[in-house]
Amino acid sequence: MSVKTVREALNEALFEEMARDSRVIVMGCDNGVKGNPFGVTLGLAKEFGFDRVIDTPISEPAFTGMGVGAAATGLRPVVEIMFCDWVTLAMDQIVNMAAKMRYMFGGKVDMPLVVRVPIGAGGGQAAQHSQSLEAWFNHVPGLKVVAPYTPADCKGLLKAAIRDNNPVIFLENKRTYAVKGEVPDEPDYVVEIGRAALARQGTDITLVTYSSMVRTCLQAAEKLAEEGVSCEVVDLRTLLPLDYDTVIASVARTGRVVVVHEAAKRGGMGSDIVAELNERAFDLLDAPPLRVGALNIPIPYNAALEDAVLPGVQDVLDAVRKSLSNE
Amino acid sequence: MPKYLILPKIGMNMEEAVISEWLVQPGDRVEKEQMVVRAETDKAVQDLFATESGIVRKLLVKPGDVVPCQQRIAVLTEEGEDCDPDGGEEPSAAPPPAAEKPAAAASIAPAPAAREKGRIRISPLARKMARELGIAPEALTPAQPGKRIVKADVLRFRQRPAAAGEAGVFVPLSRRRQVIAKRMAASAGEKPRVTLSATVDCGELIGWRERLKQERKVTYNELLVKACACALGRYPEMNCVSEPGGHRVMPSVNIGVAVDTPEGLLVPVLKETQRKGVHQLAEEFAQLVEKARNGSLTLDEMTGGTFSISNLGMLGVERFDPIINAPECLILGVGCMKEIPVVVDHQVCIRTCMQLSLAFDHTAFDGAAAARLLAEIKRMLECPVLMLS
Amino acid sequence: MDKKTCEEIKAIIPCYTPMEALPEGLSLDDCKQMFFDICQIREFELKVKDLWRANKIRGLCHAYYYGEAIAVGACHALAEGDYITSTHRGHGHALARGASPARMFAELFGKVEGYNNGKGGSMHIADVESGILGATGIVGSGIAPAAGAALSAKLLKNGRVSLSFFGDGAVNQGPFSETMNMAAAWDLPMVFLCEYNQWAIGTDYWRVTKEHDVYKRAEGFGMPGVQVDGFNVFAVYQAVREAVERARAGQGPTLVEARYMRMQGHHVGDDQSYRSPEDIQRIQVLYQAEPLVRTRTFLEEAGTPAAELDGIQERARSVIQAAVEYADTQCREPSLDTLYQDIYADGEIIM
Repeated sequence: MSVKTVREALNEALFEEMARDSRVIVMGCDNGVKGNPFGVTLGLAKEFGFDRVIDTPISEPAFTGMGVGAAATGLRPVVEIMFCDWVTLAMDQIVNMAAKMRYMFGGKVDMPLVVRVPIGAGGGQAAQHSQSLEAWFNHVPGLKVVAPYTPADCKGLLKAAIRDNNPVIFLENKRTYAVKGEVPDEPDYVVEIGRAALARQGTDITLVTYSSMVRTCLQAAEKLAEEGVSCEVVDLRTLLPLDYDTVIASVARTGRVVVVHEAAKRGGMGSDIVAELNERAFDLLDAPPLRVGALNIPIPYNAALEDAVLPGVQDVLDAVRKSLSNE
Repeated sequence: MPKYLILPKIGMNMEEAVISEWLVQPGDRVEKEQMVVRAETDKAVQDLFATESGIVRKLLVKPGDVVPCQQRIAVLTEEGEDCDPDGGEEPSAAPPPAAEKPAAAASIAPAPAAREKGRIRISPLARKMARELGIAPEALTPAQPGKRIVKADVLRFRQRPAAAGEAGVFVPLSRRRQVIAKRMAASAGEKPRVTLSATVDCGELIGWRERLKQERKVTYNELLVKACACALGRYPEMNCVSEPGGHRVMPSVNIGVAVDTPEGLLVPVLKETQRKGVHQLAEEFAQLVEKARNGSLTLDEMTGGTFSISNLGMLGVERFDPIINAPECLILGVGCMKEIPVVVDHQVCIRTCMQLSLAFDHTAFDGAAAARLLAEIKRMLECPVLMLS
Repeated sequence: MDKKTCEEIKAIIPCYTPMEALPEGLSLDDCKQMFFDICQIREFELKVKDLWRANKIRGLCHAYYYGEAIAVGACHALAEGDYITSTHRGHGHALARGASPARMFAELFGKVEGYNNGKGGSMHIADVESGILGATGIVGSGIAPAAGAALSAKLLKNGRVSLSFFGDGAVNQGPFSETMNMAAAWDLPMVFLCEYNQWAIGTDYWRVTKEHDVYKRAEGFGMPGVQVDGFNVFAVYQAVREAVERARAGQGPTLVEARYMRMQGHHVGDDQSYRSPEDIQRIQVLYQAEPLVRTRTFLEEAGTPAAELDGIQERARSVIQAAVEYADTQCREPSLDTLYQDIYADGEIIM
């Protein structure tokens, strides 16, 4: 075990996979020379050459489409859309081509494509640089969606995503690049896509969450423990396919659940998860499942306003207490 | 100035009464000592008297109310006076949190299940659990009013005493039984009780009863009463009732005889048994039994005893340890007559005998005194002619 | 063809060039093969129109008739293993690349034996094994993937070339420009082939674009652009062959504009009510310029007996006939069990 930041873990994953398989290429703005603004691709071009670490112009629709074509013809591209907000430009290639080509074309087309889309609001990045659009991808059959939090999970799941023969949307969080954690030293640490993990065990209520909100939920759980409330925190790690077995097993233990995500509450992942729990686990529920998410407002610039819009520890506490109140 | 009627305390042990019906109404003029209200005490239904005179303006209690003694029950004024329409500041009779109330949860009126427009607010999990346990959701209550019924509430319900259908039918204590329970517990707890027993040869007694029966109906109960009365006549210092700090020796031997009624145990008291003949006792006793059975014994008929007899012989009981009927200090338990082998003149022969158990309050007497009394009772019963002396 | 007709044609298709001689690298037999391919496509599409009208084919069908010269000319210039990306009007591309009409009809009838297992339909016909990276219903969305194929060919050094078919409608899509830029910047081995039929459903190109010549855009991105007569299979063949050679030699992409005219509706059910009667009258002359007629004429003039040419056309007809019969009578409906198959790789099913 070594302690690493998320950034280091992601960088390592890319290094390892590119060394392991010469078909893996990386493309995106500033991915080569600069190592991308967040440092995730730092050093790759030097190691593997600019043929495989491609600095693209600002042409998201086209270079994502190129990733699609390359994936269909023998390469394993890792395409980066610098901010999740701009994935809107690449949606056609992701939704209408990458997600569907295999199915439309008789199962004959391979699409081992990874699209990295950094999410994460806060710090005054404002409305067009702060969004988490995983709910959109959840809605597209043919995609897989992964959203790890811990450095170990970031490394393991990026490696898994690159090895997966399906198009994978990889949600890394730009606000947690500096989070430190223990990462196994083993030479080939891969985390299986589709498996959630228990970040904290508890008995009174289940918090289902992912990405930066894992940290928020753990903080809330500490606070609640002082009041004698025992929270179980489920870190989903993969959003599609979502590990309902783990979630439902937890709800069976606690009878209560709150889904927490940074993305806006309306139409977010929480809506889908709560609906599924309603269908699959109704008789386990001792209280209505609740959701915590950002307010339905474009993320404002001003610090206090931004703070008011984004969900925090207090919102989680409020939701837990509401659930336990039986009102 | 308005005056108030209060609920009078008419028995030594009376603490409260349940109003049965008013005998007067607002507007009536009542005189002090006039019977104005009928109420049930722990002994019987009684008419209670007015403690003031005046014109009834407002009744402060209503049938069914449990009213403590000395509490205001009506407002009276003189002619021409105005009356405060709200009457006195006494609250309308709210049942005091009496110690008599049993701890059993069933008698605590449950808060109605939280309802919204006729629907019960209950979580899916709780509903499922209730269904599996055979509990109707309507029987459940939330931890606090207005909250949703959840799993914890189902578990809480489950831990209550067995409800109908699970382990028998729950029978809450009636008022009568509450009193009995209280008395028995107090007696058993407070009086250091010792029981002495003796076997009585009933040969002569049987013959005497046969002879008396030819005149008029007589049961063994009257003969037992007479025997005890005579015995207490010899030891008059034992004819007493407990009082705090000591006991009071009474002039009259008033013997209560336990009677089984549908409502439970009642002990009507035969007064001045020392000077009444067996036939008179038989007559009186028959009347008391009749009244006991239809619930019309008066307070006087149920109090004032100095000695009690409990005869379970007709039910086949051979011997038992009765609990003293406080505030008395003695009780005689009587078993059944049966043929047993006895030794007479070094020979075994068959005699009809019965067992007596005399329980006494060791606060009042010692064993020797009680033994002497028992021996005297036995002597009377074995040789009834001695009752003439 | 007389001079007057020629001029009328040129008035509509300025780059019209007569088919005078066999292009370099093509034999007469090759030409006959081209003729057969053109006839096959023609028969196929005419059949599709009939079947669609008879309600035997669902959804939308965009027929390729009269555009055959482009698909046939271009595909003859490609080698085995080269990639193409197609459009919603993709039957011609697939057939020209060697796809089986029988399996294509099976797909159009929604049968399991179709190229797409019945799940794609007309707009997504994809014979992936022939290097066809599918047809897409989103205008212009095949262009960037074609560049991706070229990228992989370059990285894997397998000498393959990628050719993207697209229409004049796609030219105004952003990704088209972006892709040209990147392909030129990195000398990707690909050919941009614009099938310029002047109509994007109901909008003629000139109404919404100032510069009518598409090939000129290439210069802006630093790559060569050429314009050819889209009704002329030889012209297309020549231009594409040169472009492919350049690409394969590592000299980067070329933009080939093959201009022709959409003679019929946008799709087989389109009544073209947006086209004025005058315009429809005006283009009637182009039926003399269309590829089947001209290629046949060239072969006749080159000495091929009419009977042989008839025979070729007849063969095409019977192939199509057999294909339809096969699809109609010997193919199966996909079972509902196959609903979830092939969404994900390796047989994975995520519900």
